[in-house]
Amino acid sequence: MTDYSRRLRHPFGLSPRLSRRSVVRGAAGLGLASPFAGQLLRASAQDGTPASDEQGTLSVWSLTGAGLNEALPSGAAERMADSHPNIEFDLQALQNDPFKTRLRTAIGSDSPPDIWHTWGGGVLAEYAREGVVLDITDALDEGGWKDRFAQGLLDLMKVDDRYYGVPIVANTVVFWYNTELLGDITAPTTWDELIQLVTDIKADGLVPITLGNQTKWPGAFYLNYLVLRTKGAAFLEQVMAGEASFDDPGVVRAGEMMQELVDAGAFPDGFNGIDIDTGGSRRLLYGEQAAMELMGTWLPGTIASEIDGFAEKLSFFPFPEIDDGEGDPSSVLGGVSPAYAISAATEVPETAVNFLRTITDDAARDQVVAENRLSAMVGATYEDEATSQLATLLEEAASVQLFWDQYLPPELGQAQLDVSQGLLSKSITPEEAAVQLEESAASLRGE
Amino acid sequence: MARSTAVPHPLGSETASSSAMSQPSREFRFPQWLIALLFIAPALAVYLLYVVYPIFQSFLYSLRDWSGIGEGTFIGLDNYREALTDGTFWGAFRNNVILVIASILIQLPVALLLAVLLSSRFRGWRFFRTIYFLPLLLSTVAIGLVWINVFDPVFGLLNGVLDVLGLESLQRSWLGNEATALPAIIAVVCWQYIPFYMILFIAGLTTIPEEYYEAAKLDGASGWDAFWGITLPLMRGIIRTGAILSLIGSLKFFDLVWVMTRGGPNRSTDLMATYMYERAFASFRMGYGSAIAMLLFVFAFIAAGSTILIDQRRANR
Repeated sequence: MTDYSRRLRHPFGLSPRLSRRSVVRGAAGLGLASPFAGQLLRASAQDGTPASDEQGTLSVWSLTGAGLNEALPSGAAERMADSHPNIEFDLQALQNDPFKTRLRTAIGSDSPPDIWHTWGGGVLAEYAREGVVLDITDALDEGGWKDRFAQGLLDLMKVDDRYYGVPIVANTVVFWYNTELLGDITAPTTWDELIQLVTDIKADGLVPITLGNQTKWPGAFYLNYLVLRTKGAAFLEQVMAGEASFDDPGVVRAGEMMQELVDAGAFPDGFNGIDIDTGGSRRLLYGEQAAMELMGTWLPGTIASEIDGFAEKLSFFPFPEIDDGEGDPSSVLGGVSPAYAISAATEVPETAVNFLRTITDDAARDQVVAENRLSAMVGATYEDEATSQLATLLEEAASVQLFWDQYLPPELGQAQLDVSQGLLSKSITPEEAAVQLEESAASLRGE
Repeated sequence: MARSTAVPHPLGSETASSSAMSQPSREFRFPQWLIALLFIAPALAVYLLYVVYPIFQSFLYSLRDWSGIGEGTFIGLDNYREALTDGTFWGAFRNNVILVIASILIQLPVALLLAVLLSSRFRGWRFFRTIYFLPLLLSTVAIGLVWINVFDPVFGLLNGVLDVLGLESLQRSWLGNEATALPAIIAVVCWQYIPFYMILFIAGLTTIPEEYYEAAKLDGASGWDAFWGITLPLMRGIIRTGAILSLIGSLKFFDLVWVMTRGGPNRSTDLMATYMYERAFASFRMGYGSAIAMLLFVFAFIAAGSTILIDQRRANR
């Protein structure tokens, strides 16, 4: 707990520049923040939680969800209540798509919440460059806070070498399968073995891989993963910098491999109309009509909230290698969720930073581990064997490719969703897909 | 009634108005237009604030390249230029046209048929009127979710019924198939909105005097003759109202499609409104989304306006 004692002496680690600006904002706003807030800060002696005398409301927008999305912020608020006696915590949970729309509208109309859920990547970068999200780089340097995180995951919150958020839960995407249906299969390690497995399962009259692609992102996992394999982890960055093009044989090859899966009958009938949000893809698993699903590490938690005793039947294998790919085969597709960022317009900046400190403390990490999810904070011990294996997979990954729809600017993120749906329904060819992606990217690069 | 003298000048006091009768008054009197304005002011204020102002504001947004935060950049009519050459937009427009035609050709005749049937007051008509009216009372999201399950390829009611009937060859993934997704949605739209037109037409039918039908019967007209000769011509105005409502409703239709398919698969059910929403709130191109919204407004305005004009001209002839 040395971290904590150090932090007590530096209850909030804002740079002088930042403090001044936040104090000015606070004073100009409701007039509640004391200009001497820094000197009035007191440490809460009992539990090592950072403290503040700021007055006002701290509004936090998170995603709805049975697992951690709501439990983490409410846990943090409880732990902070004593050391922040004058703060009222206003925690709101919103569904995924309404959340994105509402946050954008709130920010656009200058009434953002103090803290909001983020996935990092392109959207966070846009907010950071618009100056609506608080730079917490200096705070992270205080009291060893920064060292609590797996560096690669914290870097997903980095924009132009400054940090704008903290990750809490890490996710990666693997093939989940029903062990009762498939028995003790040898997990396919190469693409050809995967195709063979799909063919075998299909021959048994089952749907090999369930897919609910109405929202397009589940199908885009295939495009994202295959391009990661064919072109490597630096490719997207190069494309955005204009040093590489989506119209590339590696992207075309990824499209061909997606269609190879479709031709092998990997997916359920009408997968482009199946809604994952209402469980359309999962009930094929529950009905034992489908054997596998390429999905994030949140899947067992989602399943546990829907049906008893099914999540225990699941096992997983990583996305297979491909022949002659430029990418490191250990690289994984993934991201962080939840992660949190602070509004630059917050009137209670110390409290907001303290909230992020609290929601990434040891108690928060214990919450994450207890839900069998992967902690973005280092030092977690996983008793659950599958979770422990996933943690190893993520730790040993040469790189973590953020989901494209979160990494890329929103418009291009949408374009790649459309392209992957088109590829999977074979309404566009792999060559057309590559050209369409490059056209979208080029228009964003201002070409 | 003592108050009756006050009625023409509701804002003048009774004494003022009665004295005004006897002698030329020099007291201030509200001019007619100002009184009218005062009466419509509350509604007008709401209308201006929540309808006219947003339309004007959308127009301003549509001239910018704007992500929803910050100021964006003024780009003149570039968004419109892009929309008019955007194949996806025209695909959405085409789907809107299909929805308009299907809605008018299916909803109005079926609604009229049901209205005439229910107006014949057969045994149990009240029961059926309630049953037929129910879909209109359900929330669109609930309707969408129910029908997603009806159309589900594996667990759905529709494919289950086809299975029982031995029509397995007709089974398919109704919403997952580009060819069947739009027809499937149109079926649900009709199911949801036919009750509305049915109630409208039932109300219209009650305004036709019973004597007309009795006279027609005496002259030996069949029920069919009476329908063509009496019901249809006298219902003309209300059918026109129904058609215009259906036309505008179909042009700006959004919710059921968004719930059921989000415009997919592969944009086969995209409508102008869903495409607008996707551009503005998923791709975060607020300017471009606003331009699509303006085009949608213009199309709906032209369509509704010309329908009314053509009909009036025909009525005058």
